[in-house]
Amino acid sequence: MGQWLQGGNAMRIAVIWYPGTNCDEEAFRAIEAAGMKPEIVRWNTDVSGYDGYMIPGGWSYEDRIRAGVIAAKHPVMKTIKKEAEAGKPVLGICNGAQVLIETGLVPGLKDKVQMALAPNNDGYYCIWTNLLSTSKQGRCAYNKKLKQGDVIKAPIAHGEGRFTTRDAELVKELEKNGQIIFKYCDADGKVTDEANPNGAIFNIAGICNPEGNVMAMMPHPERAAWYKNIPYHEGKSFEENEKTTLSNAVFESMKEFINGN
Amino acid sequence: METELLVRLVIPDNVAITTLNTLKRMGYKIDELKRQDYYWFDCDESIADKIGKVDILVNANKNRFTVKQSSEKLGGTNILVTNIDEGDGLLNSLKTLGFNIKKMKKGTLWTIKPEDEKLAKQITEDLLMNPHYQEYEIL
Repeated sequence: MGQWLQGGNAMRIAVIWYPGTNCDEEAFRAIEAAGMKPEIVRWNTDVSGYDGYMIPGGWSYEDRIRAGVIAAKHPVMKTIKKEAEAGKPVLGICNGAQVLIETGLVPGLKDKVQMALAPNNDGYYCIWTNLLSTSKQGRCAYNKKLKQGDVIKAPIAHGEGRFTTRDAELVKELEKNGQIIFKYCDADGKVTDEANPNGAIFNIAGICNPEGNVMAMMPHPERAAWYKNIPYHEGKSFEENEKTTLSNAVFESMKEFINGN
Repeated sequence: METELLVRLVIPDNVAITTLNTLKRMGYKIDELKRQDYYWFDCDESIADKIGKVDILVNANKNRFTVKQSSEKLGGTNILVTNIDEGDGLLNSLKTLGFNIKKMKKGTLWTIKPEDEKLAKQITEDLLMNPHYQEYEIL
């Protein structure tokens, strides 16, 4: 996978900025902390030629019609789709996940929109969640540094984040393919209804495409990149708080994937 | 007794403008697109005189409303998009306000020009709804 590298360790990651994107700065810092070179790139410029892509959270086009759909229909997504088809990593978080689901890039088993991120069962919701790494380590570009069974912390902040589908066979197929990368769980890694913050089917929090280079996840690991970000880590020393957490393994895995490891 | 309430913006509707621009960029030839909030109520008594005065449905500073009986026909090609599992939040709020509503439905009513049912279906399935949690009907 290293053939796209621009030289040295300068893995250039385009952080796509749509009108209404508001998580670009924390995405930038998390990508940088993982050892890559992020660039915030406007949606209406040429975004081709980067080593990887990240579509951050926010309210692209003010969630008009429904979250992510206007951005999904923008020509920039044709470029990103082409880059994804070439095997480059594309990560969508929160609103970015909504965009990827509305393009059909995820779950990507057919060339059409196969899922929705529907309104939460209980409206807009902000809370810290636990995420179980459900797939085999290295199944996708974003769990190379996460063992199956690891639990990471990440906050959610969304009104339309409930993974759902009317295709009864789809979830079985996703499970069989190992495409469900993260599920909402409790602190001990148990997948329970109580741990599901939005009513997502099978507690799904993150899904990848069959090839594993494109992932859509609703929680924000970039907002939990350092221990100082995590409220449950209060009382630790300054040095400990400045260390990156297991949540940043999502971005560190992306780096490994680009490196071809 | 069935009552339908249509609520429209009298200030510029940015959602409709963005939607029209997106459809044009996607190659659809559409002259005009309007959007209204749509509510359908089933009650024992008439609520036609009162329902448009509920400020959680109609903000008098920016909205105007039309109450219509179900037998009335709407003009133009109209697409009603509704969520499959809307929940009872709004229904419960209206009951708290004294409305004896048995059932209700909420959605977005899109009106397009030119009048073309085939085009309406295409744009709905391509942009206006996600079939995994929404459904639509051409009115």
